[in-house]
Amino acid sequence: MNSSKQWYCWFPLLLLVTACAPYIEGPGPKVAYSNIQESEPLQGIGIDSHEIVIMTDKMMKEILVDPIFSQSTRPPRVIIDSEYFINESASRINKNMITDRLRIELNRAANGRILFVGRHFRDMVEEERKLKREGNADPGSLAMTKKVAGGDFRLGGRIMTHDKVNPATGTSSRYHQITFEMVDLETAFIVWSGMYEFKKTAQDDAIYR
Amino acid sequence: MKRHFFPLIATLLMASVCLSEQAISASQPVANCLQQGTCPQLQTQYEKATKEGERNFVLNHTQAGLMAFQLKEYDLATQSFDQALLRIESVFSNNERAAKARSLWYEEGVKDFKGEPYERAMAYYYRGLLYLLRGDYENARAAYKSGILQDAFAEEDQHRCDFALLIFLEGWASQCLGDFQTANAAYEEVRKLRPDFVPPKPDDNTLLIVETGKSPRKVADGIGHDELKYRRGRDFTEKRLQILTNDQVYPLYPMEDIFWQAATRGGRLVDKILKGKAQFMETQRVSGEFASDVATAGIIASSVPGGDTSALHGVSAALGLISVVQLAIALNVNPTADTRYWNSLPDIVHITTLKTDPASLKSPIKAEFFDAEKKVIPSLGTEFTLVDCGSNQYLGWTRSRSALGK
Repeated sequence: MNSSKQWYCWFPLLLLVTACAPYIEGPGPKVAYSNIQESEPLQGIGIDSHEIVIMTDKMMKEILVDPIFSQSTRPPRVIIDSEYFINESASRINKNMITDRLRIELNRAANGRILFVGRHFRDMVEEERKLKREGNADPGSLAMTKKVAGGDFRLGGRIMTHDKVNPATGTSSRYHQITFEMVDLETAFIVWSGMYEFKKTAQDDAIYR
Repeated sequence: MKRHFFPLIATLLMASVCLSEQAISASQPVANCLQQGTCPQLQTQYEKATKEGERNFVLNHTQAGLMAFQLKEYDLATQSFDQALLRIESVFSNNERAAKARSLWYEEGVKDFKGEPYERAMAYYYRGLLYLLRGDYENARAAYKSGILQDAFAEEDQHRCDFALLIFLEGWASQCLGDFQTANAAYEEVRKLRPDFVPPKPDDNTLLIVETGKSPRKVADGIGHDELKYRRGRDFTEKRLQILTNDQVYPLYPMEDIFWQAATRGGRLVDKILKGKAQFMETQRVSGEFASDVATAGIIASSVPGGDTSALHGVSAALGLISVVQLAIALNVNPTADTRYWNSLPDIVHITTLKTDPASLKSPIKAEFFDAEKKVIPSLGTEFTLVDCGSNQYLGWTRSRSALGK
């Protein structure tokens, strides 16, 4: 009889030890590298790294096989930056992460078949050209040109989202539609279009209010 | 008897360890602030955030972010809100700790704080202001859209959102981008919620925001303190304000009542939150007719029942009767309401837009606050200046009550 009473007394302690387990952790945070092409265990409904990688890889491949860019006798000059790549979505993102990766991967893969105009470096180029022409810097090893390069095509596009939320279940879903379009800078013809879309649904964990 | 005493002591000791704060390593800017003493007014708050760890991370960093915002420490504010929003937006799946914490053996207050919808929406509001200040209008708009979603209300697949402030700011961010079509659509949406709202003129280039009053409060009510209820902030009298600049007087429009946002879901008054679920008052839905008139908001507040002190007596009597084991079982059934709240939020957010040339401003903009009887409150007068956001856009922000605490 006595021993059963003892067990009863220690029961709350046992409960607390079990409850405390997740709060008693080892020293320091653990850091591990993750594969950027894989979805992450910690997710939201926004744009994740693996979506940027998959999306830009897809657009790069489509641009590279398009005859306008792959079979032109003279390498087309292309401007790819975020200036006309508009975020109309509910996802906060640094658009340069998309346009920079697309430009850099395209530049590497095109291997000179496409020339990329760094319009976002214009101030830097203008400053150096001015120093050279004013005699404050020597002409460098390359031939000087009268003007900076103009572009034949420029990337435009939009990031758009459509959201649904159900607070009753803590579920939210977001459909992303990301469009990429290459515009002829003389005629305004859209010579190439690409689109990437995905939908994510997440349920807020019950541990949160 | 002695044999029963030791388990009790051991249980209490273990409980104190269990409920003590989990330390967390600070992010780099915060670490710089703490180690190099570059932010003396934020030191205490960041120390608290570091000490209390994940459990109160969102709460501590939204409060720290607002303090930093008020101090014009915009980098720190950005870091704090980004870190808080990262946690608000993230969803853990198949996480052991989440699964364990889901167990009802934990009190509500022990769980990681993510804030109620109005608190989450306000985190996006301040993050959006930080984007506006940097001239990043696209991400400002994205922040406001995300904030609006926190307030979305689903009923028979119909979404409702009545957070007019965020809808207006979504419109303003679009206007700053020259996207007047989207801006006008947002302003139309605001007009449905605030019929007396006058949309900004197309050539307005300055947004003024003034926050008044104190944060809505959360209180635990009911037997076992398992019911969460909302109360309007107290110990403040300011209701209205006007700004004075270049000998001109401009009234500001009371765009949002934060208490109203706390105490309603999709226009329905919440009676209480029980086990994470809102239970609504037996009243008709109050649609988007609120309430540029703060007096109306006062009526709304008074319609929420006051605290029932008899319930408190009941609780203490009950606690006196039940044993530790019975208490644990009681907690299992009725977890205590989580009354942690963002205590530096305002009561009302007022706005106006103007066309200005800041170079022509002779002096800082002055804000004058009035009580419900339209008497000036001299002690609250404040001055502020405009921040150049780029692209000929300006933002002025101030508040009647400091976010830095007493």
